[in-house]
Amino acid sequence: MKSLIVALFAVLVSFTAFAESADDVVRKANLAAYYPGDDGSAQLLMKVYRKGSEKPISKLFYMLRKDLAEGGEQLFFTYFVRPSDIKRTTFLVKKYIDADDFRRLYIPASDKILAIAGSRKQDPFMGSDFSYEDVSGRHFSKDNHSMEGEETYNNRAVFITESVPKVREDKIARMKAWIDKETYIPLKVEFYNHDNQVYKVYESGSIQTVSGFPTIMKRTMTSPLEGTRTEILVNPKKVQYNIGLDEELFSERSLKNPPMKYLN
Amino acid sequence: MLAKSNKKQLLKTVALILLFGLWPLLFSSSLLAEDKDPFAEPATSGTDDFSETEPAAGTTDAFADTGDTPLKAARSLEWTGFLEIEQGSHIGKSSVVDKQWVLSNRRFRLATQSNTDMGSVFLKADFIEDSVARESRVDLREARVVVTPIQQMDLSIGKQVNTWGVADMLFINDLFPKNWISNFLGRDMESMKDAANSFRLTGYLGNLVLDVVYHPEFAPDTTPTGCRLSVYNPNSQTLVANSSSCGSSYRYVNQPGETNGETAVRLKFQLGSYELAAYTYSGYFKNPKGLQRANNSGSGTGETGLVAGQTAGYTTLMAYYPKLQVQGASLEGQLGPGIMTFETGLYQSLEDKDGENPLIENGKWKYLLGYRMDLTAHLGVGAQWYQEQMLQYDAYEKAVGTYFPQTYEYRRKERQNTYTLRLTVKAQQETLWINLFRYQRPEDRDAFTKLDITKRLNDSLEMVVGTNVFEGEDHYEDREFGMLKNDDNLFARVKYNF
Repeated sequence: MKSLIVALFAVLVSFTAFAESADDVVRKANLAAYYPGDDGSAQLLMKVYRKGSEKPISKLFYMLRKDLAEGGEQLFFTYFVRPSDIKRTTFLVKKYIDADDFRRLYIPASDKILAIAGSRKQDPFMGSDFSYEDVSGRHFSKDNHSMEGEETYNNRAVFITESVPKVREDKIARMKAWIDKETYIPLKVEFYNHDNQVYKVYESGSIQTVSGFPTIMKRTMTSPLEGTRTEILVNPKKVQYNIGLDEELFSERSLKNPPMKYLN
Repeated sequence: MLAKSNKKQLLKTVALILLFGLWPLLFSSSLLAEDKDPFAEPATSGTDDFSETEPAAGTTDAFADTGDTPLKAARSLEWTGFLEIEQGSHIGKSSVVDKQWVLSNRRFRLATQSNTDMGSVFLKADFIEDSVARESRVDLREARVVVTPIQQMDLSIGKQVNTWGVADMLFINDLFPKNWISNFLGRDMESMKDAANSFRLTGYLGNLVLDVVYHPEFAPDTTPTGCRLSVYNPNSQTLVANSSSCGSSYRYVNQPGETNGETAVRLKFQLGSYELAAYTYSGYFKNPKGLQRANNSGSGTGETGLVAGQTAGYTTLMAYYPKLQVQGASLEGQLGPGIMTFETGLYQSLEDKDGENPLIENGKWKYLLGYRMDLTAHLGVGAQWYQEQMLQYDAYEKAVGTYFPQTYEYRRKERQNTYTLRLTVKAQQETLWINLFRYQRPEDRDAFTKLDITKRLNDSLEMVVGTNVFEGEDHYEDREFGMLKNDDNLFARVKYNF
C-alpha cells in the first residue's frame, strides 16, 4: 500500500514536472516567435494561393510592432504598399491578452477611419490562410499544454507539444506543435478541428538570425481541406529590432500621416 | 434595341477594352524588367545559423520565387494608378431621361507621393473621357502638402477628400462634398466623396484630437441635374430631364454674390475602445434645399414673394443652397461582438429660423443608431436606424397649406425615418465580394437598393457588376430616391491597377 502511494506520488510529480515544462516550452516559443526585442519593423510580402492556382494574389506591406510587456500587450501598425489600389491603407491593432483587440483601418481614398470589432480573432487576415491571431500571436495562457515527446524534425531537435483551448472554440479543437529546442521557434504547427481533421498547417521556413534574434523569414500556412495556402515572406534587407519605436506612433495620427521614416 | 449612336459607342468601348487589355501586358513586362526582386539578395545583417544545419526547414532561399510577382519595393517617388472602364445603362427605358447609357467613362489615373523630412506631397489625377457628357476632363482628386509645423500638429493644405462621422452611407456631421450621382450610377465607392480645396489642421494632445477644416469656397454635393438621372422641377412639380446640365461645369445657382466658405470642426476624445466626438459646421446646405425667384437679387430672403395658392404658375423658382449651421456629436465603439454607432446633429436653417418660408428647408434634429458585426468569417451585416425630426413643424404645415395647397396631402412628416441594411459576403479568399445596401424610408415612401459584385482576378485586374434600384410613389417625386424611380440602372466596371 505504501509503495503504491509512493508510486502514485512519483507519477504525479513527474506528470507535474512534465506539464510545467510543456507550459514553459510553449511560453518560450510564443516569446521567440512574437516578442523578439522590445519592438521591430519588417517589410512583408504576403502571397495568397487560391485553390488550384499557382498564381498568388500578393500584398506588400510594412509591419511595425511594439511590446508593452514581454508576453503581454502589443501594438501593431501595418502600412500597405502594394497592390497600388490599397497603397497608403493603414491598420492599427492594439492586442490585449484578456480583452478584444482594438482595431482601426484607414482607407486613404475616402479618408475614412473604420472601426473593426476585435472579437473574431480566428477570421482570415486580409483574405489569407493566416488568421488575425496567427499574425499577431495566440497567447499561451489561452490553452492547456502537454508534452507529447521529443524527436528530430528537419534535422533539428524538437519538442512536440499539444495545446487544447481552455474555453471551447468553434474552430480550434487542439494544436500540435514542433518547437525547436535551441531557439524555441515553432517549426511546425498542426491545427485540428472538432472532427479531428488537420484543417491548417503552419510551417516556418528559412530561419535567420537578425540583430541576434532568430527570425522566421518565411511563414507558410496551408489549408488542406480548402486546397489553399498563404506565404508571408520577410524582406531580409528590411527587418530590424529594437529601433526605439515610440508608443505614440501607434495612434490615429499615424493612420492618416504614417511615420514614413520607418516605412521605406 | 440599341440606337445607332449607342451601337457606335459600344464598338468604341470594345475597341478600348482591347487596347487596354494589351497595354497591361506591355506594362507588366516592363515592370518585371526593372523589378529585380527586392527580397532576392541575402541578408546582410546577422549570420544565417540555420543554413548549414537545417537545409530542409524550408526552401534554402525563401525569396528565390518572388521574382514572378510585379510587386516591388516602395521608392521615394513612384507612379501608381489604374485604367478603368465604367459602363452603366438604364434598365428598360427611362420615361424621363431619354438615355440608354447613363455612365460611359474611360478613366486613367496617375498618383504619386513624395516624403521628405519637411513633409509630404500627394498628387492624384484622373483623366476622364466621358461619352455621356461628351467631354474629356481632368479630375484632380488630390493635390496637397502635409507638414508638421509643431510637434502636436499636422497641416494638410490643398485639394483633398475629408471624411468624418460614424454612420454608414448616411451623413449627419460629415458635411464635406459628396457625389451622389456617382453613388446612384454605381461608380467606385471612392468616388462617393468629391475632392475640394481646403486647409485641414489637426492637433493631437493625449487622447484628444482636434480637426479644423476650412473650405475657402463652398463645395456642394454633386446631385442629380436631369442629365443622366431625372430631377424634380419645383415649377412644374414633375420629374424632368435637362440635357443641358450634362457638362461637368454645370452647377445649381448659388446665392448671388455669396462667396463665404465653410468651416467644420471636430473634437474627438478616445475613451478606452470608444470614441466620442463633438462637431460644429458653418456653411450651407450641401443639397440645393432652397428655392428663390429667378430674378431675386438675394436680399430679403425672409420674404417669399409668393402669392398664396398660385405659386407654381406665378414665378420661376430656382434651386440654391441656403445657409446652414450644425452642431453634433457621435459615439463609436465595440459593443458585444460588433461595432455600435451613434450620431446626432442639430441643423439650423439660418435663412428660415422660424420655419415660415416654404421655399427653404426647415431646421432639423437628426439622430442615428447603428450596429454592424460579422456573423461568420464570410458574412457581415449592418443595420441603422436614422430619424430626422423637423423643427417648427407647425409653421411648415401652415406654409405648405397656404402656398402649396395642392401638395398639402403629401407634405413631409414631422419625423422621417430611414432604415438601412447592409450585407457583405466575402468569398474565395476575399477575391470575391458581394455587397448589398438598402435604404428604406417609410414616410418619404421611397427606397434605394444597391447590389454589387466585385471579383479580383489577379494582382492587377478587378471586375465589378451591379445594379441600383429605386422605389418611389406618385406625388412623392420630390424625395431623394423617389425622384429616381424611373432611373433603375445596371453597371459594370473593369479596372487595371498598376
